[in-house]
Amino acid sequence: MQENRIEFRNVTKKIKKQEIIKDISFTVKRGEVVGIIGENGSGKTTVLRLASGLSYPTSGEVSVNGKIIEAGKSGILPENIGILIEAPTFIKELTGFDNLNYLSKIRNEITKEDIIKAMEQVGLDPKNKKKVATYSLGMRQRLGIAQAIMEKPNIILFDEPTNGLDLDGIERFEEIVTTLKKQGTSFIFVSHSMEEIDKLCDSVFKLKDKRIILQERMRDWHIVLNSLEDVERVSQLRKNVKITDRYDGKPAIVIPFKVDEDIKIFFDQLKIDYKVLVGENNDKF
Amino acid sequence: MINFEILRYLKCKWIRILLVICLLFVTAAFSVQNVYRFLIMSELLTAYDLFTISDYIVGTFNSAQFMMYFILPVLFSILVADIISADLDENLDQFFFTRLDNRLSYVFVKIKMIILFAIVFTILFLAVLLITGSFYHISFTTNHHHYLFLANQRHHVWVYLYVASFFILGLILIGMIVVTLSIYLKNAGVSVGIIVLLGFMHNIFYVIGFDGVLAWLPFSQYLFGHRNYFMPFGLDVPYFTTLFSLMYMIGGSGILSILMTKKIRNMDIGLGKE
Repeated sequence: MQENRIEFRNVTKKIKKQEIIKDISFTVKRGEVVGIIGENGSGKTTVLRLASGLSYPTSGEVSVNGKIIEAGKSGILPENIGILIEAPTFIKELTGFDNLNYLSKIRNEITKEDIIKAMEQVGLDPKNKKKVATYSLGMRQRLGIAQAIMEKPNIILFDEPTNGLDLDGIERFEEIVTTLKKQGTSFIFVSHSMEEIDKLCDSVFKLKDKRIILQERMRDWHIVLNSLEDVERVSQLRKNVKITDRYDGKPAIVIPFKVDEDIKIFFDQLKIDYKVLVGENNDKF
Repeated sequence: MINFEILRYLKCKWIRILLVICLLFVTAAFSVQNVYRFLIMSELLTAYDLFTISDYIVGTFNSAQFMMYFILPVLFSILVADIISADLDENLDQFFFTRLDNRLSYVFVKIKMIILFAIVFTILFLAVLLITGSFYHISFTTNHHHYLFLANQRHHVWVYLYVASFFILGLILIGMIVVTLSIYLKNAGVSVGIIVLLGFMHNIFYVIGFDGVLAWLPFSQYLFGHRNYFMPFGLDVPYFTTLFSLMYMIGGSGILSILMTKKIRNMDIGLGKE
């Protein structure tokens, strides 16, 4: 049985008597990537705060790495987690490396080489003498990601992880997640957009009306079209279309949809003939 | 974590530290005439006696009005007021808390910082007094005229030790007050403002001679020369003894640390000033 790294059991959280989330339950297993989507103010970040011990549940129970996260006598905090919530704030007067170096001294578990490696993984130059005050939003986000991964925690919590990242940053981020997931690291991603996190997640939950529901997943569908003009029309409407090898001499694409009914609606509206070749699980049609 | 906190403080707050040092020099300069006049008016020093550095230092640490009741508590408050609230305001808290086992250890680090700051502030002020004393050509001979030396039969080193210990304990209490206020009020500026108001209150009660009220106020506790047995210089309150002030300062700091812990242990962190 896979070990549960994070468990939310009937968790309700109120802030100033206002209910933010109500009776939510879910688990994150070893090596699992869980996404949480929802509109602004739906309580997504609250879930991350509860998992990281920055807030405690009003009722219910949060357990992280087998430890119940509660106020208790000493304000228990989870162990072995990395976190990046909202826009990361660093000490503006220091360089990126110095910021991470000072932070590493709290746990005192890693070397300068580990910090350099983490910075290089996110595409930041550890020797850069620029102060964080002069960093762009994207650079701060990269530094925030480096901060979260540098101590090799077994759980990482990310709030809008690709916020401000350019294409290179997003690719590096995806590579980091894929590599760490293979090593058994568990993740929770929070985002307002399904598209942003769907690609990386094993399961996605949606927060709506203070409750959490398992979301239908976007799957990659292999579809054969009749002409390159059709491919172009589809590409203009959907940005996440990938062109693949031709099938029987006809152009083929990979395009994400939740269910096959959505494919029908989409192509019927465009009046394009199509043929579904392979679904996400390589089911041939 | 304490190393991280101190390095961070020095890197980020060096302008504030420099400003406080400058103000300490101004205060020390003001104190030269202040202490000298006090000794002359009290007939502890005559026009033929040498005003020595010992008199100046001990006199400064026992100048109630302005010095101990106002400027020193305010300057120390400015240094420590935001050591917790700044973490919460700047959204840095997530990085600390996720690297600790519990919130109590965070509070302990902050209390350690207040204690360390109180010791460093005392040494710094002493150094400022020595430099200022040299600048004003105050004699470095071992003659003593201040009533604390005259009233104490033990070696004069003990007087320095008593004065410094009380001062450090008092600063710790002031630090605890201002930091606890800043957490509960979620505003370090307002908590420094309350210290300023407290300073005014102390001065008013001192001027109108409400010794009974002063004996229960926090800034009265760290003036070693305020004890009842230094009358006519001390407060005319029989129970205002060394033990009373020690219990007040240590007990007060203890209660405030419990209040601080209670708040931090339960609070929703990272919500800024919401």
